Amino acid sequence: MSRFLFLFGNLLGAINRRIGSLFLGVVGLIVAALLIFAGFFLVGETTGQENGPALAPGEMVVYLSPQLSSDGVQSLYLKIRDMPETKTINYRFAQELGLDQAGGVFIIQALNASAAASLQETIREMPGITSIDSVTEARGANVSLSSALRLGLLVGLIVSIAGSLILARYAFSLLLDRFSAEIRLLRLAGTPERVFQPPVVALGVLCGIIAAMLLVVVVYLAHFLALSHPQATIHAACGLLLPGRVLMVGLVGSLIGIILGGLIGVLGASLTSRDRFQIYS
Amino acid sequence: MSVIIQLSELSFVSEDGIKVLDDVHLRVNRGDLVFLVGPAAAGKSVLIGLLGTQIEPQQGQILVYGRNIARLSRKKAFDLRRQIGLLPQGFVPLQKTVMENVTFKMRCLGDFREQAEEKALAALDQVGLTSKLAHVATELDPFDRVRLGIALSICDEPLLLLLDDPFVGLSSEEQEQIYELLAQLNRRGFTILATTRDSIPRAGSSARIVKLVDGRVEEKS
Repeated sequence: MSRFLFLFGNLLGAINRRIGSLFLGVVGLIVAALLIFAGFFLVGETTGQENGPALAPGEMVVYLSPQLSSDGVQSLYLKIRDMPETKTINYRFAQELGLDQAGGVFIIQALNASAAASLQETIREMPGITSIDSVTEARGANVSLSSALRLGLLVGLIVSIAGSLILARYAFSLLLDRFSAEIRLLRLAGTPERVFQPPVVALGVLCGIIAAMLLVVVVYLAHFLALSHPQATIHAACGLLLPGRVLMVGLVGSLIGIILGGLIGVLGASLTSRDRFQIYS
Repeated sequence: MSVIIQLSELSFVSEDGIKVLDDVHLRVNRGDLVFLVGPAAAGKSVLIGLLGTQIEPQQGQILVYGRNIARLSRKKAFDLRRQIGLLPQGFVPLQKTVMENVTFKMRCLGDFREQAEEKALAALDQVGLTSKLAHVATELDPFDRVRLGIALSICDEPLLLLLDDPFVGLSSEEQEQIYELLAQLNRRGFTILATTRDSIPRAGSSARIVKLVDGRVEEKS
């Protein structure tokens, strides 16, 4: 076991119930900040056409004739699914998407934007297809938020980040007090700060990683929930219906969470140079 | 005879403007056992802190192993510190067993577990603490705490030991035993500079004694 892991294990061993709950609070506040960040991209209505469903770039809604038999729908489904440009295809009843017409629809995701164009052309020629809805990249990507909601999210974001930093400073202060004999012994032994500060930074990063994982779990749960109730979601959080958007928010949010955790760790590590951790001050 | 410590014109003023050390000159040779005797606030701890590179020097020259402490880079200062065994006054051990206290230090210095345990056992054997390996260090009596502190100072085998008032809070009999231990370590090759505010234990009358009064050194032979 390396020196870093040995020290990290000892540092974790100094966490008691009180300090542990404070760090859980820190993780909770980071998750809150990340969810608010995600809210900027996932909450709100799409600026797409008024009566149509929210669509991602490369996604299209193919309206089927109400005259089609179930075997006809099945046959079309299989044909489109087997086309090389098709990435995913799902069948929905038009009413499920709040569309004012009878029959069913296919929601198709093409491999990419150029594949979408040729796929659209091919599908349009097929019998039993009444029309196709698709969006340009710009239209699909816009999610409108009211300015009041935007301001609320911004305030929430600042409060949760500031709260996590303040709480983390307090938690690290208590933790380092419990670890102070070890720090003084390390100083006596001639161990430089770069040996005992990285485990403290790593603890912050660990908080960030846990928060990032929680964000991804929450966002994807919400995504799958939204897909099963698209009508309820379209007007409240249409971004949750866009797989690409959800993936982007998950990735960027995770990165921000880890960076925020690292900053919290650096804040904690800076406390080790306090006078009370010196042998002679 | 090689010089381990050489202090010249060393002065130190505390944050509140009190002159703690005033033009101190001192030379400690390899193999010396030196006691720095002085009353409380005479500057003994500051001198140990300066030699142990725990306090930034202000004025004068401090040579340890021939290297001027004031001119050392941070990295070299850490390297030098690792060649000095330092026991501060009122040493507080970790809330772990005696054995774990010493292995913790060695693991943090980069040793593997087996290597650390081997060195810890050797050091604890030298100070006579092998019968208390599994005792919780914070529950030890002051005498055993000092012995544990000395074991921690010698476990990575430095040539120089700096001990800040190791006799404080001990009975005269325990002081004698600590002195005997220091004399034994000295005979094994450790150069030792120890401070004390009281008189030297009887058995220590053969050691070199340096008096520190009002920040100035007066040597007795």
